[in-house]
Amino acid sequence: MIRKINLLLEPLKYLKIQQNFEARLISTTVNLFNESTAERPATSVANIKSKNTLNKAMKSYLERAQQHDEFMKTEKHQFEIGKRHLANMMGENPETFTQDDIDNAIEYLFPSGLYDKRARPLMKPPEEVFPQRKAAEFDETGRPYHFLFYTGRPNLYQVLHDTVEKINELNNFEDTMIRKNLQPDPNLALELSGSQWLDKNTLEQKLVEPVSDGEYSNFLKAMDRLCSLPYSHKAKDFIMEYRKPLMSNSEAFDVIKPQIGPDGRQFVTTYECRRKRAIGNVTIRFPGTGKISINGQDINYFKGIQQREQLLFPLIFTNMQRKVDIEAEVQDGGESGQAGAIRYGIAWGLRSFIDQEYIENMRLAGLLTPDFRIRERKKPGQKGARKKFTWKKR
Amino acid sequence: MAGSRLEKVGTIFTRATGLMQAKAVTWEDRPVWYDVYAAFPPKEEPRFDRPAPDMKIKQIFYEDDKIRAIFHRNNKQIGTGNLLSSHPSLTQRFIETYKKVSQQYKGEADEKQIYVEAIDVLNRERSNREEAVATEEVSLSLAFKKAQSKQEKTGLSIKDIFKD
Amino acid sequence: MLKIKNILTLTEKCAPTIRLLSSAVPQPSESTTQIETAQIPSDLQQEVLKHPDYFQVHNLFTVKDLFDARIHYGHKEGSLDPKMLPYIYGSRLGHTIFDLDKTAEYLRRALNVAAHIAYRDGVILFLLRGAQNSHLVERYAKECGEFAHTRFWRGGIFTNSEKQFGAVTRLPDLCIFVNTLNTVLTQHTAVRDAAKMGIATIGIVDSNCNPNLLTYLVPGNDDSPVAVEMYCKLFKEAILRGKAKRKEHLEI
Repeated sequence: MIRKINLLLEPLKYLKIQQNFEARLISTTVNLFNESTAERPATSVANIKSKNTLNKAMKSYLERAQQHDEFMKTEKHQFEIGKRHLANMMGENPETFTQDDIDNAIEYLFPSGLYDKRARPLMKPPEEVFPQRKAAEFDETGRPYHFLFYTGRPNLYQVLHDTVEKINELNNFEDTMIRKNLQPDPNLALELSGSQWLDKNTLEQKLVEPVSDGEYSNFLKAMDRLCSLPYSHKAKDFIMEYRKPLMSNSEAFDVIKPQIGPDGRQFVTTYECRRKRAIGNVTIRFPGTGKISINGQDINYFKGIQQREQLLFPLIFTNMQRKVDIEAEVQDGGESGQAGAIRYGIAWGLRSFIDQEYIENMRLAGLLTPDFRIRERKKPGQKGARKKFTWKKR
Repeated sequence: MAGSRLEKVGTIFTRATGLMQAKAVTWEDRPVWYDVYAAFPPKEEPRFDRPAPDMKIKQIFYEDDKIRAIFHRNNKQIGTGNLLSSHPSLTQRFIETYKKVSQQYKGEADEKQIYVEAIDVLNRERSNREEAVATEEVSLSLAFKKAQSKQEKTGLSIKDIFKD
Repeated sequence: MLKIKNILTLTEKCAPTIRLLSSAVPQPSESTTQIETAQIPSDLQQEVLKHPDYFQVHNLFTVKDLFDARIHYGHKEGSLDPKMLPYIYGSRLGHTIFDLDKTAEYLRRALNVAAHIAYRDGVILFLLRGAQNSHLVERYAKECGEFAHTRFWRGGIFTNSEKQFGAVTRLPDLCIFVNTLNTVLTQHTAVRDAAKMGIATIGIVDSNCNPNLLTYLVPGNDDSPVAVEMYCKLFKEAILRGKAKRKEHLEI
C-alpha cells in the first residue's frame, strides 16, 4: 500500500522540478488537466469487468476453432466407419487394415484410367484431405504477433525487410574493407549458375501467402540487388533459401552395374534404344580396343560421314575411343535413325565406365536425353502433316 | 462494431462520444485513445472542414543578404557547396570578414570600399594557405623519390621477367 | 462446409510460424499472456492521465536537435498548402521554413499521447510511403514492439478488415504517419480510413500536406532520412517509456 502511494506521489515530484525548467509547457497543459478531472464515475466498474473478458477478435477466433474441431471430429468418425466397411468388403480384419490396404482396395474397386493421379478416387484420413490450419496470429488482447501484420502479407514483407537488412549490412562491411584497402576474394564469390529463383507458385507455398506479380518482381529485384553486392557470399544461406537447383540431383539416373562376360571383360547392354523408327540394342565391353560392330559389320555399315560422326560422338566426348568395344544390333528406320539410336545406346551404356563429372557433362550436352520425336502422319485434305495445298481465292 | 464512417462530420472524439450517448457503444468498449484525447486534446480540432487561415507568408531576409547578393553576382564561378562539411563556406567567410572590416571603419566608409577591402583580406588569406600547401607538396614529392630509390634496390627489372 | 473451407483458407493466409487451429487458447511465442490480460487499476490510470507530462517526454529532444535533423526545411512555396500557414515561420528565397518552436510544442504533445497509448496497451501502427525510408521505419517499429506498414496500401485494410485478414481483427489504436503523402503526392488513403474507423492519428505534415484529418499533427520536414530517423527515435523512446511504466504498474 505504501509503495502504491509513493508511486502516485512520484509524478507530483516531477511536477515541481519541471515547473522550474519548462514553465511554459506546464501552463498550457495544466488547463487541460483541469478539464479532464471531470471524469465519468463508471470507469472503475468498467475496468473490473473488462479484466476477465477476451478481446472480440480472440473470441471470434475461438468460435471458429471450435467449429473446426467439431467438423474434424465428425469427418474422422466417418472415415473410421468407411474404413471398416472397406475392410469387410475386402474380407480383411478391420483392426489391422492399414492405409496402404485402403489405397489398394480403392484402386481395385474403382479402377480409373484418368491420367492425373490427383483426379483418381481416393480415401485418405481427413487430416490429409483438409489442409491444416494456422492458429490465431494475435493474443487474447487482440494484439498481433508479427510486426508487419497489418500489411496483410507479413511473411513476404518480412523477407523483403530482411533482404534490405542484409544489403545494409554488406554495404557497411564493404565500406570497412575498402577502408582497410582489401579486395573481395574472387574464389569466395557467390556461385549462382546452378540454381534459379523460386518461381511465384513455390514462393507462395513457402510463404503461405498470395503473392501478386508486382510483389514477385519486387522480390526478384531485391534479391538480385543483394546478389550483385561484392560480398554477397556472406549472405549465402539467406539467398539459397529462395533458390532451387536447376536440375535436381535425384533425377540423375541410376547407373547400370556392368556384368562380367565369359571372356572376363565387363559389359553393359542397353536394350531398346530408339530414334525415329529405328530400334536397337547396344553392348559395350570394357576394356576394349575401339572395335565397332554394327549388325556384324564395322563402322562402314554407315555410308555417310554424318552418321559415323553421330556414332562416335559420345566416345570422343568422353575420351573413350580406344578403350571400349561396341556391339550393336539395330533394325528398322533409316540411316540417321539407326545412327541416332546407337549413339543414345552408347552414351547410356558408357555411364558405367566413366566418372560422375563426365556423366554430368554428357547430360548437359544432351547425350543422355532420348529423342522421342517421330514423323507426324500426313493428314487427308492437305499436302503433308501441316502443309496445306496451294489455294487461291481467285 | 457499431461505428460511424462519416469522417467529414465533427471529429473522431465527437463521433465516439455520440455513439456512446446513443448507446451504440458501451462505455467499457470505448477506444483506448478516448481518455487520452479527453485529457490531452489536440490544439486544433481535427475537423475535416477546418478552413485555411487567412495569413500571408513572411519573407525571410537578413541584413547581409544584400552584400551576399553582390558577392555572388561578381563571383559567378563559385561552385556548389558541401552541406555535410562543418567548415564555413566561402560566402560565409566573406561575410564574416566584411562585417569585421565594416566594424573597423565604424560606419565611415561606404559599401564599395569595405567590399573591396574584404575581398583583399580573403585573397591574402587564400595565398597564405596556398603557400602552406605548396611546401607540403615538395615534401611529398621527396618522399615519393625516396620510395622509388628503395624499390630499385630489389634488383628486379621488367626486361628480366620475360627471359625465363 | 463451404463456410468452414473459406475460414480455413483465410486463416491460412498469414502467420509466420505455422500453429494449428484448435479450440485451446493459442500460446504466444513470448510468455507474456498472464501479464497482458491483467489490467492496471483504473484509479492509477486516472492518476497517470492527470499529470501533464507523466512520461517526461519533454526532455527527449531540444529545438537544436530538431534543427540539426533538418526538420525546419519545408517544400517550395509553390506547393504550399494554405492550411499549413500557421506553422510556418516564413519563406526563405522561395523555400518554406517551419517554426521549430511550434513544431517542438506539437511534437511533445504527440509524443505524450503516444506514450499514454503505449501505457494503455494500445496497438500503434507506423505508416509511411516511399522506398527510401521504409526500412528505417520498419526497423524502429520492430524495436519498440509495435507495427509498421510502409508498403503499398491495399484499400480496405481498416475499413474492410474482416475480409482482408479473414477474421475479426483488432485494428490499431493509434496510427503514426511518418509522412502523410503517398508516392504520387496525394494524401495517404489510411489517413481517411483511420478517421472513418475512429482511430487516433499522429501525423508529420510537411508544407504540402493537408493537416485537417489528423488528430495530432506535427509540422515538419517528412522527406529527409535524418528527419525521419529523428521522429522514429523519438516515438520509439516515448513508446518504450510508456511500456516500461505499464510493466512497473502491473507488477504492483
